[in-house]
Amino acid sequence: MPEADRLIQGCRQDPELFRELVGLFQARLYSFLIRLAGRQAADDLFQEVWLRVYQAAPRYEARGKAASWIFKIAHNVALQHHGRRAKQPEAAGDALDALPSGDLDPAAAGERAETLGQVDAAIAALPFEQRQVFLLREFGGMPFKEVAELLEIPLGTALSRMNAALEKLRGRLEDFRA
Amino acid sequence: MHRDQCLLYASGEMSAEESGRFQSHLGACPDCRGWLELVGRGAAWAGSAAENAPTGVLVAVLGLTAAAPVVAAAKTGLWAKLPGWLKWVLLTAVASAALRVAQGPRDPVPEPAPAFPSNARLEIPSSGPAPRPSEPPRGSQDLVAGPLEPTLEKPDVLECKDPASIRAFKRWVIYDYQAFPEDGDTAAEDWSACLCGPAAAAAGMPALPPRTSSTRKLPGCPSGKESVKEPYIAIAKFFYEALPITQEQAVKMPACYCGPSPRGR
Repeated sequence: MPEADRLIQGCRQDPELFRELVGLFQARLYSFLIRLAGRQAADDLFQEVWLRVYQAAPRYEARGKAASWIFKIAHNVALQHHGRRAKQPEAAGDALDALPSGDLDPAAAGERAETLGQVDAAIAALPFEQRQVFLLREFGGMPFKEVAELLEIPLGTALSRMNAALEKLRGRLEDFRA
Repeated sequence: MHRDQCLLYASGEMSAEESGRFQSHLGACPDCRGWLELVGRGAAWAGSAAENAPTGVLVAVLGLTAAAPVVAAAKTGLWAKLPGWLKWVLLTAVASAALRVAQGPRDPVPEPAPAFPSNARLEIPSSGPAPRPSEPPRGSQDLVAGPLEPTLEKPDVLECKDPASIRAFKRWVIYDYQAFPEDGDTAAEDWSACLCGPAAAAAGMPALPPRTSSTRKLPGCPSGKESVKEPYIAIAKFFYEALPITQEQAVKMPACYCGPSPRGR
């Protein structure tokens, strides 16, 4: 059984497993929520996602798709927030706000934040539907087929939204090498 | 160009047969190779952009497992009706109690603050510098010292989500700037608003600090004719040592100190 499956299934019985599960996904999940719902909402939404994960863990079917399951929950939580706010999430603001709190090198962190901030700003400018697909794929690691299922759109539509997002981000992604 | 196939290939969603065919195509199609590289850059960006959730949020989340009453409330749907701040308070309280029990008392000796690098990148205000010392002085009656105490202990690093921390920050600023009584309370309000936004005003004002005989010399702001980089680095360093703030907050201080008041004054 994949590690994440084991952690989800055991997290209600063993707090240490819940801790490991959070540790496994927290950075990608928090980053996903920031980019989808905005930095101000991310803290609350992050907590709400984990509460739902904790609640739903007994119903989780271990099929090696833990990341997809968690990010589906996160997407739903963010979408509900989006509906409540009834407006697009705020643009990623000051690039320096993107600095991780534990970073101890302002020079390096500043350069990193500047580059990341440019991509963040470009992502924030994407239409919400393209941003959803891009973030679910890149932070959630979800296959496009699952992204399409989650969003209830044809696979071809999910792919075209991703392509459109990449086209718009093309210039900003120059500094990043696979 | 076959962009859709590039995406499916990159995410491993092709069968072995499809993948083999597409690899053959890639060898003859520079456009697809270029697009595939762009797909990889998107993934590389996500790897670089992933950032950890704040410690306080993580502690609250990890407290879920010790939060039987809270989770029970969640099961009944009560949780959904609670405002976010109350969820935070409940979870944090439960988590803190759980961690205290599990880990015992924390080390009371704080780690020393790291040195501030001289090549820090700094935030520059969009409008021209407006050095605080040039503002009209306010009456010294605006700042009244509290009961005599020998010293005021420097508080923990400013945490904008915690009103008590914001008040402690303001109190420290007022205390530390009594040598400049025309400026202390203004600085406390302005700088906390600059670093924490609207939460600063909502936190209210602190109890008055004790008097101090501090003769702290404030750094100067750039005149507008010189490069701002060096003065701003000096200002960031100065406040990093003087105030209970993180390096990231220190990087913002030149703009807070030399820029226009965030409160519109």
